[in-house]
Amino acid sequence: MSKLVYAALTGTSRQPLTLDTTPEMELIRNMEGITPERQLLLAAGASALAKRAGTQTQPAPKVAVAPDEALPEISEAASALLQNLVTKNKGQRLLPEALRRIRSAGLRVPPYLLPDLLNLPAEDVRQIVPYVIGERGRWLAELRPEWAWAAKALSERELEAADAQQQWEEGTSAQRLGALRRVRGRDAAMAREWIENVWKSEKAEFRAELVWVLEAGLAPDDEPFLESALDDRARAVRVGAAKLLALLPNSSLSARMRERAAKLIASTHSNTGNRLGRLARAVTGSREQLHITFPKALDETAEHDGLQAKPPTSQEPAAWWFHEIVSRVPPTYWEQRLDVERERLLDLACRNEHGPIIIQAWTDASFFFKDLEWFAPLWRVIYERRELGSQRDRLPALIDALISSGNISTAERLISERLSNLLRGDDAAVYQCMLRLPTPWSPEFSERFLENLKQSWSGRRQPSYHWTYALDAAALALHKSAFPAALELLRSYTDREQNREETTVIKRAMQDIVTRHQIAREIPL
Amino acid sequence: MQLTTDTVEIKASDSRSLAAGRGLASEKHWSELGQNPQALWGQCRGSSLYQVCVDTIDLASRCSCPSRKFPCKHALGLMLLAATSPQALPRQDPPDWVLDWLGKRASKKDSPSNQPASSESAIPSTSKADSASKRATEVARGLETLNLWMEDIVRDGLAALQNRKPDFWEQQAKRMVDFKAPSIAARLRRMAWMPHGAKEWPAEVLNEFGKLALLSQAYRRLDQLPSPLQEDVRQAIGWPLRKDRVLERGETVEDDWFVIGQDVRGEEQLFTQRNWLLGRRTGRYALVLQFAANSPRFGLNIRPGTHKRATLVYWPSAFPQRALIATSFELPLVFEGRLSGFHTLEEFLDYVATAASRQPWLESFPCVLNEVVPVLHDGTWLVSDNAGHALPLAPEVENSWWLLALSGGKPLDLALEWDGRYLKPLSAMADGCFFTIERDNL
Repeated sequence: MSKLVYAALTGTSRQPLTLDTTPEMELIRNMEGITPERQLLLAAGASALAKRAGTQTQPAPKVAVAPDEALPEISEAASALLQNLVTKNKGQRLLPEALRRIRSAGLRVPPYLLPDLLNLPAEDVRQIVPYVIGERGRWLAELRPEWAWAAKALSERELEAADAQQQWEEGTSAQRLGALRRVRGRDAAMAREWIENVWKSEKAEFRAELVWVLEAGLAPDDEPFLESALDDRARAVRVGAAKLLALLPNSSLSARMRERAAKLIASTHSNTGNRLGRLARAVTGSREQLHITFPKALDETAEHDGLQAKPPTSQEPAAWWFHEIVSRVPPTYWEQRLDVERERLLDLACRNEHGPIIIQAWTDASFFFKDLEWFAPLWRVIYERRELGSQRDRLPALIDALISSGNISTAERLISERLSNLLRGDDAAVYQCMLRLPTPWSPEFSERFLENLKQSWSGRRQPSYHWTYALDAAALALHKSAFPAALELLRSYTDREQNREETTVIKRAMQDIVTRHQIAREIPL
Repeated sequence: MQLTTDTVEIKASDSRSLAAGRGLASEKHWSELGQNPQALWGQCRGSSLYQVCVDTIDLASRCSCPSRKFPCKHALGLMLLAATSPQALPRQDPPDWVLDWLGKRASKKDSPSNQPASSESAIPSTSKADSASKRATEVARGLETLNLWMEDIVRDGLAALQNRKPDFWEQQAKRMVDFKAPSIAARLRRMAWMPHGAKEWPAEVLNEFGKLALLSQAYRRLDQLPSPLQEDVRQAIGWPLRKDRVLERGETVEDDWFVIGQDVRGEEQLFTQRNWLLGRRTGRYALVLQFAANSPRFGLNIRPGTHKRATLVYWPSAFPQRALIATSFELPLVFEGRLSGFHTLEEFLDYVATAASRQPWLESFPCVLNEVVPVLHDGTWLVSDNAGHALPLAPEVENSWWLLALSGGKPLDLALEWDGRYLKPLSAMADGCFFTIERDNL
C-alpha cells in the first residue's frame, strides 16, 4: 500500500503525512495556506494523474498459434443461416441436421461461430460439433476447460488408429477394451488369447467386460474358455459366459437348454407326421393347440448354466422358470421342433390361456438371439392383441432391433400402415415407434405420412394430443423430396384452420421445413 | 455484416406491423426483387402493387403504400425476406425509381436544424450572461463545501467510510446537484459502493477524491487557465457548452469518419449511447454521444462498421475528444480495407500520456491497434503487440474467448477503449470482415 493511501486510511489526525520530494509534490508543498488534508488530497490527485499518464506495458508472453486449417469453410450464406440457428432458441432443433451436412460435405464453420457452438449444451449437438470446428476449433477446445469435451471426442477418435497392442498393455480400461475389440474384429482367436493371458490378474468388473468382447465373432472355438468362465468367482462373469454359451448353437450348454425347453411347449395336433395328417391340419387348423407345461423345479445344472433360480419378488416361480428357459432358446427352435411356421405359432400362442407369458419369453428370446425374422411378426401380434397390452412398451425396442439389423424399410412399413391410428386416434405406441426411425425418413415413408396427415384432417374436431407432437417431429424428419408437398398441404390448412393451437403448430412446422430447405440448399452434399 | 432477423425486429415500431411483415416475408408476394451494396428493393403485391426499397446501412425505408408507419409492413417484409433468404434478391443495378430515392436521401443533410433535440445533452444550462455568473458562484460554493467534506473524511481516516450508509454519499450528491455540479454528484453516487467492494477500495476512493480535489483547485483558478482547459473543467463539473455554442466555437474537422465502437449505458431512466469514431485521413478520434429517455431509441442511426464523409465539430477542450456531427454527405458505406491505427502499445501509451497531460479529466482513450494478438496467460487476458509488449484486456471472459477464436493466435486489428486499467474491446477486424462486440450495460 502506498504512503499516501496509508495516511488517508488512518487519518491525518492520527498520523501526519510527509510528502515525497518529487517535482509535483514540491509544487504542492510550496502552496501556501492549505491544510494538511488538502495537501494529501492534492497529492493523491497528482499521483493518480501521474500513474494515468505514465502507464507501463508488461512484457508479452509467448503466443501459441493455431494450426492451419485442412478443410474449407462453409459459404457466407450458410454461415449467416447457421448463426441464426445457433443464436435463436427455436433454431437449435435444426442444428444437428445442419451440422451433419457440414460434416458430410467435408467443410468447417467460420471462426467467429466457434465459441457459440462450443457453448451449446445439448447432447445431440455435442455429438457432431467436434467434427465441424476445424483445427482452430480443436486448438481452442484444448485451451479452455469448459470446451475440453470437444477436444476429448477428437482425441479419442484418433487413438483408435494407434497401435492396438500398446494400448492393450498401457492404456486406460476404456482404451484397452477399445483396442481389444478392434483386434477381435481382425483376428478373433488372438483376442481370446489376449484375454486368456491376463485373465487371472484382472479385477472382477473388468473380467465381466472382457467376456462380452467375445460376443463379436462368437464361434465354437470360444466354448472351452467360456465353459471355464462358468465357474468364475464373480457372478457377472458367470452370467455373461452362460449367455454367450447359450448363443452358440452347438455348445453343450445350449443343447442342455434346448432339452429343458422341449419339455415346456408342445403342440397337440395328432401325432401323425404323414401327409394325410398334415393335410388335415392345414384344412381344419383350428384343432391345433399349444400345450404348456410349467416346470416344477429347476434341475441341478440349471444355475451353473446361468439360469436364475430365485424369481424376482412378486413373480410366481413356475412362470419365472418357464420364462428363463424359453428365453434362452432361439425362437426358430420352435418352428423346427413343433413343425409349425412362425405366424401360425404366434397365433396359437395367443389362443393359449398362457399367451402373454409365451409371447414375452419369445420376445426376449428374439432379442437375445437376434432372430431377425421374428421381430416384425412379434411387433404385429403385440400391437394388435388386446390381451398383450401390458407388453406394448416393448414395441419401440422391437423397432430399434429391426433398425439396427438393417431392416429399416420393414420398420417403416409397420408404422406407416398404422399412421392413421396415430393421426386420427391418439395412439402413443405408434408415435413412440415413429420417433425411433432414423432421420431423415425415407421418401416413401414421408409420402405415407403426408397422405395420412391429409386424411386425418377432415372430420376431426380437436387436435389429438399426439397429433401436434407427430407434426412437430415430422417437420424435422421429412425427406427433402417431400418438402414441396408438405408445405402445400400445411399452407392449405392455415387458410382454413380457426383453432389457434393448431395454427401455431402448423406454422412452426412450416418454418422448420423452410429452414431445412435452406440448409439443404446452402450446404450441398 | 449480415442483415439478421434480430436487426429487423428491432426496427419495427410495433408488434402488429412486425407480424404483418412476417406474413409478407416470402417470395410469393414479391416481384422485381434485387439488391446492391446500398439498398434492397422489390415490388409487393398487396391490395395494390407497392414499390418498396430499404437502405441497407441505416435501414431507412420507402414504400408507395399509404401507411404512416415507418417502417411499414411491406418494408419489414422485404427486410425479413432479405435476412432469411438473401439469394431471393439478386445482385444487380437498381432500377430508376430506387436510384431516385437514394439520390434524394444523399442530398438531404443532417443539418443542425434537423437534428432532434434528444441528441443534445439532457443537462440544462444557460448562456445568458447574468445567470452564467450566478451559476459560477453556486458552483464555487458547492466545490468549497465538497472540499471541506473530503477533508473531514481524510482527517478521520478512510477506514471509517466502511461504516457509513449509502445515505452519507447520497446527501452530498444531492447537495452537489443543488450547487449545479451534476457530474460531480454522479461521481459521488458511483463511489458509494466502493468501500464495500474490492480489497483495493482505499486506493480507488483516494484516487477519486484526488481527482475531485484537483478539479476544485482548477476551478479556483479558472480565469487563469487557457480557454479550452476552462471548458474541460466545466465539463467535468457538469456544466458543458450548449450545442449552438459548440458549433460557433468548436474545431471543425471534415473527414471520412469510421464508427469503430458503440456502447449503450442505462442509468436512472436516461440512456447514453457512446460512439467512437476515427477519421481515416486525419487519424483523429472522436466521441459522439446520444441520449434518450425511458427507452434506448436514439435520434441518429449510427452503426459500427460503417463510415461516411461528415463534418464533426469538437467541444472546445485542451485535448478535444467529444464531438457532434454537424453535417454528413452521401450515404454511409460498409467497411472495406484496413484502418490505420497505432502499431505498437508504446505508441498508444505515448498518445495517452500526451492527452492526459493536456486534459487531466479525460476518463477513457480510444484506439485502433494494428496487428495485435489476444493472449491468455496464467489466467489473465492480455493484448500483445509485435514489439513484445502487452497490456491487460478487460476481464470479460466470453468476449475474450471470442477474440481468441477470431485470432487463432494470429495478429488482427482491434478497436479498444483504455480506461487506465483495462483495454475494453469495441470491435475486431479480421479476414476482411468487421465484427462489433455487443455488450449489455443496461
